[in-house]
Order: sequence, then C-alpha cells, then structure tokens
Amino acid sequence: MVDGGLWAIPLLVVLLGVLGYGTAAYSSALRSRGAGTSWVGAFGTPGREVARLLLGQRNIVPGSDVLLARIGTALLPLAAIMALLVLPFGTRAITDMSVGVVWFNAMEVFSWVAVWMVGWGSNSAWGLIGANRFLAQGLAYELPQMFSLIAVGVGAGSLNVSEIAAAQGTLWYVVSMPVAFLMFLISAMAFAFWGPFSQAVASDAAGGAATQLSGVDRLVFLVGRYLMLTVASAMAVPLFLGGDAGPLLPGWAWILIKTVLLLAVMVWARHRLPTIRIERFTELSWVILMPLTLLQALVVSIFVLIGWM
Amino acid sequence: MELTRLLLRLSVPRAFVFTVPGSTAIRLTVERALRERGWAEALSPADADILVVCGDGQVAMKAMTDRVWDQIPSPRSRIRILTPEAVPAQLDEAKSALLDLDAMRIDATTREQEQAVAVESASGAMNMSAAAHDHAAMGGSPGGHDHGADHDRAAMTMPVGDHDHGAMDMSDAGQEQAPMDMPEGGQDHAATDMSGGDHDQGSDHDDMGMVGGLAMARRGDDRDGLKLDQLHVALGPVLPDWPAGLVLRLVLQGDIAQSAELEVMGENGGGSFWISADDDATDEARFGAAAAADSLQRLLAVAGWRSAALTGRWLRDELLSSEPDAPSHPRFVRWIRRVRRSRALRWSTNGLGIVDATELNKELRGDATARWIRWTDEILAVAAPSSGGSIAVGSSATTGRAARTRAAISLLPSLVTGQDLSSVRLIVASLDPDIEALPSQVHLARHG
Repeated sequence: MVDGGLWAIPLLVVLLGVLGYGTAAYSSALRSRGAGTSWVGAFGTPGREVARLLLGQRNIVPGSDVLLARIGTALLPLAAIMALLVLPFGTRAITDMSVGVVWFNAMEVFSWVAVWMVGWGSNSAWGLIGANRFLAQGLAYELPQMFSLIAVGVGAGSLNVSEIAAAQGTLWYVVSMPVAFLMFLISAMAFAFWGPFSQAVASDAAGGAATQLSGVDRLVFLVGRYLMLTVASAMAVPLFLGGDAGPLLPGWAWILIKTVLLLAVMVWARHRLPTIRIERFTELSWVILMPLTLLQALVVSIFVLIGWM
Repeated sequence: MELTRLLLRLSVPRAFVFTVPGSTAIRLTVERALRERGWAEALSPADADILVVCGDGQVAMKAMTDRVWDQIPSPRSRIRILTPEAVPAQLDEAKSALLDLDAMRIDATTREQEQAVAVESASGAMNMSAAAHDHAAMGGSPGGHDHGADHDRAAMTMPVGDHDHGAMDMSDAGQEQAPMDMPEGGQDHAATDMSGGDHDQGSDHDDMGMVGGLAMARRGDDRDGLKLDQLHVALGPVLPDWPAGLVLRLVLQGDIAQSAELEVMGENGGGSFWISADDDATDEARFGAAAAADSLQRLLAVAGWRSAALTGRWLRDELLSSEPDAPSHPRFVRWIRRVRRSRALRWSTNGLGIVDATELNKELRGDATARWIRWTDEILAVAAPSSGGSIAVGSSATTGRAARTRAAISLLPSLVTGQDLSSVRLIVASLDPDIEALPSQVHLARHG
C-alpha cells in the first residue's frame, strides 16, 4: 500500500494514532470490566480524557525547569514518529535506510532522556524518583534488548528492516529466536513505561515522573507513550513475525493484524501483572535475561556460520 | 467558546480524594461512587479536577486541603463531604460546578497570576532581602480568593514542601542564619507531601546557596559511605492509597530512606469504622472480610496493579452491601485466586518488612507477602467457604485492630529504614495501620 514517499508520513502517523487510541480504549474497557461498570462506554474514555486534558491549565511549579520538562514532554511523541520512518508498511519503509534497526534503537533510547527531563524538570521529589527509576530501568533492559536485536541482525545478515522481514521466508524469527522475541516485547513495554514496567510513573510515587504534568503537557506525554508502545509493536512484526507474510489477505492487512495482536498482548499484560519493582527487574535482567540473550545471539551466530540460517 | 463548552461536557472529571482520619465510612462511599461513575482517581493534585475532602478536619487539616487545592489546575472544584448520604449529590454538584464556564475562566486567570507571582518570586529571591521583598509583593497580588492571610497565599502556589520557607519565611529564618530543624518544618511537609521535593532546611545557606529562591538539599553520608543529597519527604497524610492520618517523615538519599519518623494525626478518637460498625453488622466474618479486602485493594494499588485493585474495591463494596450472594460471584473467586497465584506480586513483596512473631503482634508476623496472603484467606473464607479457606472465620480481624495498629506503628520506622521508596510503600500497605482504631493521642516513633 505504501511505497515510500513523504506523503506516507502523515498517513502512517494517523494510522499509528488510531492504533494507539484503540490500545487505550481496549485497556480502559478491561479496566471497566474489572471495576464492575459498563465496558461499552469505555471505548469513548480516551477521547473524553483528551477533552479533559485539552482544557486543563498547564502546571508551573516554582523552581521547576519548565523548558527542560517541556522539551522532554515533546520528545516522546517525536521520537516515536521518527522511529516510524524505518517501519516497512507494504513493501518499503519511508526511508528504507541500511541501518534501520540502529535508527529504531536510537529513537527508542530517546524515551530515556525524555522521561528523565520531565521528571527532573518538575522540581518534585516524586518526579525525581520516577526519573531515576526510569534510568535504572533503562540500564536493565537496554543491553539484553540490544543483544536480541543483534541476534536478528546476524540471522538476516542485514540491519535493513525490510531485508530482515524478507529474510525470514518460511521460518519466522519468533520461532527460531524465541528468547530474542520475548526480550523485545519486554523492552517495548519497558521503554513505553507500560504495565509491569511502569515504575517510572507508578502510583506508589504519586505518578512519578508525570506527577506535575497537567493539561496539554500531560496529553502530549501520554500520547507519546501510546505512540511508543504502538511503534514498538509494529516494529516487532518485521523483526520477528515475518513482516507482511501471510496467506490470502494482502500484506498490509497482515501487518495490521499482527500489530494489533501484539498490542492486545501488551494490554493484557498490563491488566494481569502488577508493576515489577526496579530492584527486582534489574536483578532479573542482569542475572537471567542478559546471559539468555547472549546465548541466543551465540546460537544464531553458530547457525549462520554453519549455514543453517 | 462553544468548543470549550463541548469539551467541558465531554470530559470525565478526575477526583483527588483526601480522607480526614475518622471518615472511613465517607471514603468508602466516595470510592464506590467514583468507581460506579467511572471517574478515575488522580495520583497527584496536578492531574485532578475535583478535590474531595472526606470528613471535617481541624485547623491543620484545613490548611492542608487549601494547599492541595492550590496545586490543582483549573478548571477545578472542591467539595467537603460530611456524611456518606451526601456523596452522590455533592459529586453531582462538583461536576456541575466544573461546567460553569465563566467561573472557571475567572478561577483560571486568578490562579495563573498567582502562579506567575510565585514563580517570579522564586526565581528572583536569590538572597534573603529579595525574598522578604517578594513576600510583601505577593500580598498585593491581584485576584480575590477565599482563604487565609497573605501568609497562606504565598504558600499556596508553592507546591513543594518546605518551599514556603524558601520563598517566603526565608525572610525570617534566613536572616538569623539559624538552621531550622525538621520538626519545625513538620507541618509544611505534612501539608504538601504530594508534590514532594522538600529541600533540606537544615542546609547551611553560606555553603549551598539557593536555586530559584529555594534552599538546596544538604549532603550527608549514606549507607555506602558516599556523600549524597538528603531530601526530606513526608509520606501522608495527603497521599492516595495511604492510611488516613499517618505521616511518615523520611530522609531520602536517592530513593533510599535513611531515617524515618512517624507521626499520627489522631484528632478524632471516634473509633474505627471497622470496629464501630461491627455491632450492627449481621455477619462478623463478612465484615472482617470487607476490612481485609479494603487493605488488600490498597496494597494492590501501591504495587501498581490498578485493575486488580479496582476489582478488590468492587468486592469490598459487595461485602458491605446487604446482598447475601453477591460476594460469592465466580468473578470474585477468580479474582482472589489470581491475586494469590500471582508470582510477580509475591516476588515484589517477598522479604519486605519481616516481623518476628511475638504475642503482641502475631497478626503481623512474617513478611509483607505473608500478611497479604492472610487477607486473601480471610476473604476466601467468606467468598468461597466450600473451597477450604483454611482460617478460623471471624478471626480477630476487627477485635485486635487497635493492638495491631499500635504494634505496626511502633515497628514501622525500624522496618522502613534502609528501604527504597517502593518497598517503604509496600511495607506500610502490608501493615495497613488503622489510625482510627487508636485513642486520640499523638504518637511519635523515631528511627534512623
């Protein structure tokens, strides 16, 4: 459907927004069901929340670094949109660069600095704690995530996202590299500070990095978070789920279906799991996930060397 | 104009609920009403539209609610609920107040001006005299409002704990160069814990200087032998998912509590809801299970499991209602099993706040996990009696409440010292002291 070209950018951003809205709506529907209220109305909830935040006054705390916090807030959706550029939808991405995976990784790391700037700039102990939690979380998930991306790159012999999707042929990487896939999903939730990895904005720290955000600032921050989550799910499709491969339906439909399924998994995880404390996640990450992903990369490298991949 | 009206009508308000000790009955009704209406609860005043104060506090509480109110961005409205029966009507009233566009515009303009003055004074007050000067200027800021003297007004837009010292009282304290010790700053901490960021008032102004008119944190040795900034943060009494009336003053380095001091705002002495209502409750076990469900939902919320916490509230409301079979609905049994089986939750709470069993506190024995598992036992015994909830029904859940709270309060400071903030919150939630069960005294405990 999309074959490169600048005109595809607004189209894809809108599509991303629709997916993000759907994610938020599904999440609030699950929440309403758990709270014993009608889940039908929940599909309008994100829209109503947008209306509320559009009207809200912006919060300015004395002694806060307003510029820093606002740059951080805006950075989040911008980074998600930039990450979108290398996402193949149809046959090619908007800019099908040869190092697409690295580009995606670089954009995703922006959420570190974005969340940290928002938390630090708010001049609040809660914000500071949330910001520092996110840095610790970043240190925990980033290295295993990079090893799983390396496994994918080695397996495909390329860092170009479209080529990686094409290289999977009949055996998707989700089958041949399950550990890497799992790690990518974990890291997707982690850099969108979502569900079990939402300690940076957790309720035990009164909203953490987002404590002092109100009105349109909070709106941009939250939109950025949903866009991040959506773009990460969409990226998992070419990296692990064979891109647009699938019977009967056209390629773009398969991409959509796979993305939506992954988003559903993430929403499910949010409602089924409590937040994992940073302390525990760091331990898990360095003691278990890191060796496992290293092993995964090693196995893939050996397979490539002996010509099985 | 029309668009604004439309957006106002579309938006679902968020409530920030503050419970004055002794008002649990009102809090429960409010939480039920919010849940049924689908109004979310805000985690911080900045994200709230309606300030809901449950109960009638005394002067200190009034000052606190005023300061929370000042942190809520416009459009906003506030209600003080004094009886459970008044809840639905007052919530409706708060919602319709939000729709009054003209009033909201005036409120927004006033608040904006106050904010601007506060920010300006904070950035301008690079020395003591400037601070004193701005103090005077602040009193003359335009825009009417209904509370307090100039003193309050300055404090109002200062969302951060001791900042009112920084920007305002600095004029007195600073000139003497006398280090203010924390107990004095106490009231202010308590009032504004929501926005956190208490900069150490004990700091030596000559050394540390000021940033944005606010005193900077002082450094101290931490447990690893490093020198780190010390932040004084008070948890409570205005904090979501926190026991009403409890104040825990922490000295944080990073997010590790180096020392903790506990205070109880026991103004009421009216007896705990979970004890006093016991007499006319037909089923003691059911009432005890409701108390356990209330504690459990709070722990789940603190653990970051919001949807499970909401189901816990739903179950609690059903347990308190008169319908006999509602709590045994399969969905609640499923929910309680899911919580019990959750490895992630156990993993988070394992080993936190270990209490050795003595006669005094045997209901608190074990770690946080052991404590919340006992709550689920209690609930399961009522919700699914056939499935072998293995505890003695109607255990001393209500009878030993005062003793348990006393034990929890004496243990708390030593249990939380050396823990990071999320562990501190989980430990407090797992002990869930019921301040209302205590006689009306001020209790102090210190550790660190």
